[in-house]
Amino acid sequence: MNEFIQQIVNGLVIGSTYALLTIGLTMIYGLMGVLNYAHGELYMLGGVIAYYAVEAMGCNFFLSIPLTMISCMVFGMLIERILIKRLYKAPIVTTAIVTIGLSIFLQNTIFLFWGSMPKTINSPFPLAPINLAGIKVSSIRMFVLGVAVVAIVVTQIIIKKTRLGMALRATFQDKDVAAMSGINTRLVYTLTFAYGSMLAGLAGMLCGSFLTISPFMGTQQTNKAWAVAVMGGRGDIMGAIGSGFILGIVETLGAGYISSAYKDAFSFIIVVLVLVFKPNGLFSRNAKR
Amino acid sequence: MKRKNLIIVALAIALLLPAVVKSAYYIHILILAMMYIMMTEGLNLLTGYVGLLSVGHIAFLGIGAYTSALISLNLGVTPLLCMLIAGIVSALFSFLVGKITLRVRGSYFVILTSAFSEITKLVINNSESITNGPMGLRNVPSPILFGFELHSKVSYYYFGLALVVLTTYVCYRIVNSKYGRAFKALREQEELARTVGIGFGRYAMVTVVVSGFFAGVAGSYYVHYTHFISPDIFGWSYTTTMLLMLVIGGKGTIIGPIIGSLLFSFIPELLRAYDDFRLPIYGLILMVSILMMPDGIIAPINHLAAGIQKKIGAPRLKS
Amino acid sequence: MALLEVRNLSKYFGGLAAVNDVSFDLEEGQILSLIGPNGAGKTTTFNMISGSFPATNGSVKFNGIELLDKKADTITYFGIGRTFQITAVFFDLSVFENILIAAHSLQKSTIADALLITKRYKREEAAIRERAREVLEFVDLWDSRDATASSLPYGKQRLLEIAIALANKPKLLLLDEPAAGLNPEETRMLIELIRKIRDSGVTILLIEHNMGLVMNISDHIVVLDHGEIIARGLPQQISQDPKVIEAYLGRGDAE
Repeated sequence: MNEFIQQIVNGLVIGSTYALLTIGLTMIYGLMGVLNYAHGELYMLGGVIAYYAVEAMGCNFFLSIPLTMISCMVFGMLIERILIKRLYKAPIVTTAIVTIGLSIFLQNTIFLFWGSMPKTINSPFPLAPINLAGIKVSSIRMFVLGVAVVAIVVTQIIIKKTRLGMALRATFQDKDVAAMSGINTRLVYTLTFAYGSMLAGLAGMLCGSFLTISPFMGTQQTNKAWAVAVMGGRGDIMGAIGSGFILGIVETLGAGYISSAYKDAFSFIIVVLVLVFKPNGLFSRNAKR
Repeated sequence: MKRKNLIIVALAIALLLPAVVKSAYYIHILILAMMYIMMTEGLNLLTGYVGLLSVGHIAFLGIGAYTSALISLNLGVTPLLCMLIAGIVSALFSFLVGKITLRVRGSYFVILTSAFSEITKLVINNSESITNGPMGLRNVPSPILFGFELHSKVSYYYFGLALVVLTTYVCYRIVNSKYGRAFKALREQEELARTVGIGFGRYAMVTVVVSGFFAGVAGSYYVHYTHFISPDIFGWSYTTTMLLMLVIGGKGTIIGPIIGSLLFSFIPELLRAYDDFRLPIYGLILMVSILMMPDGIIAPINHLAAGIQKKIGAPRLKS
Repeated sequence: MALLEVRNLSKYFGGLAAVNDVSFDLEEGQILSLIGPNGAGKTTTFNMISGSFPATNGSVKFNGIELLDKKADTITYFGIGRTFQITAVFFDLSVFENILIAAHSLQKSTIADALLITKRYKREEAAIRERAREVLEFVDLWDSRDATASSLPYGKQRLLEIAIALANKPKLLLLDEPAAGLNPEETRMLIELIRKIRDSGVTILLIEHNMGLVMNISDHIVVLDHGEIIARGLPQQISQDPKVIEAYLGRGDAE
């Protein structure tokens, strides 16, 4: 029983990073209709930036968190201003090819000076797991879960309570009406993309402190984020959060009780099941449109 | 009439090429180019004509290659038959992917093909008892055609050329039949197309299956040439290369994928010294070219040809 | 049995009834017009019949076959053609190619036929080309056959749209405001064309705002207001029906 609960906790940890990663992806898809295949690269950049900050420049681990977030936000802003803004009226094929091109460019550029060795960020937390009523969890994982949950809650507050969030929701509902009522939808797009990139970077950094970082890890994360986004339903942020946790738990339990070699296949199986039975997302009311 | 001449000239050059190109290495590149043409012509039906992007097309090539390798090694099936079976198996898989995604939306097709290729890689990597895992399969035999084993590079080149002619012919016929008209109708006005009986799913499925079949055949062609296949085939760099060939050559034309495939089979050889920078540069070219030149280099070439003909007063080429 | 039997057709958006309990019959060889003020539910009714979107309730039988469970891309195979309120043709293609596409459902050949260029394939291609010529001559667009649809003047685009709907030899033609935007001369020619279509044996269901046109050619009229039928009958009866006059005038006053 303890082992089962331990698996669940580990699943929640991984799931929280999936949720972080997917919030941005699903916002960008829902709001701008952009099929972003470079989202996982921001996750990768988050890990890489944090690694260089902590390991090469001796930056404090905790300080590297806001540093990474700000860097990824700026990156996201640049990407949106330079590239993504050209895609808002483009067909799916063009959008996907451009973002795939971007993803290849980023991966292989990072690869030039990183090499292929996977590396990990050393956190100041002790390696020995903490014992919570018989359930052993490493303190870094608990820290990751804590930070991710805080980021998710803050995101919810921003969307629900602030003026920016209101503008975002209005644009999401009807961008023409939003534009007519004085909302700068261009700015909303840029900020949404930047914010999503920041969350992806944060997720990458967090994962990099207990898993490994490599230039090519983004591809799989993009695939998983899309799986979570499909599960959650197009543009549905709450759905993405819920689905992120579900996928995390399914993967850890699946790896523990079914097969660890196929851990990364569960997301695919779930996507297929969702597309067949609930194409509008796990949490949609009706099965068919 | 004019176009017929062009085709004859191109075919003559292709047939005489081995007589001129003596380097075995360049013949090798040509053989791979034939594989790429088969792949990109199929992908082009999907992407260029119907607007569906398969990001995991390499998975269908891999499935074809593995199918062909396994049944020729384990069951002793003759490689030519293997090629057909490889095509059919790949077509079945792409049919399934299409069945799941096409009734929802086009964008899900991209997502599912991408995930599908990751999973295929995972399954092949982990099914060691069948696929020999990461070590791959060795000693895949050469095909035997009319009693001749296609062992030499030159014979394999001609074999590939024949397959390419067949592939191109099939694509040409599809595009210039009622199917091609249906694709145009869907691209232009999907709702009106529906009312005259052209549903997206059914017509998209035709291209999904056909392109899956060609990918499988290309995979079989590849594996009976290299005699070896491993999960490394599923790397992103192949997918990148194929997309580049398609986009630069010109999607939505029959000739575009051929030009693109030849170009990007030889360009890496010219840039050998800078191989480290190849993929970052590919990424950049991919982004820039689809934004600046969405119809590929075939559009300016056609434009130029039309201009020249106007000047010399010859009748214009019908596009 | 009538060719088209609409029974208790309803469409609710949320709690709101866009179309409520609409029933009417359309006899073979007749022209029935569906009229009513803006927002009366005419186009909604039309779209449900043609399968463009699902009905909440009711039944639509064509030749005794239930249409409501059919998808929009299969309706044409039962012998139904339709046009759209906002001109919908394949703008970037030639007039001739527009009709070839529209005659698509007449072709039964498979992909194998197309690849091998079988006799059947050649016969069918020749047949739809012949059909395209027939249809274009019928609507008097044969001389514009090589023009790109977008280059046609508006009036001719509307004719092309009707030609597209006729290409598959339908038994029933659904016309959604065919006279919208036409000048009086073009409208007069349209009236003649619609008559000619009816006389060739095609039954017609028409939505139209132009009362002159409606009164001129309809065999039967059904009047909708707020999603419900408020009157039905022959053109003379409808033009004198106080409820109809009120529906139109009342709305007119408010505007």
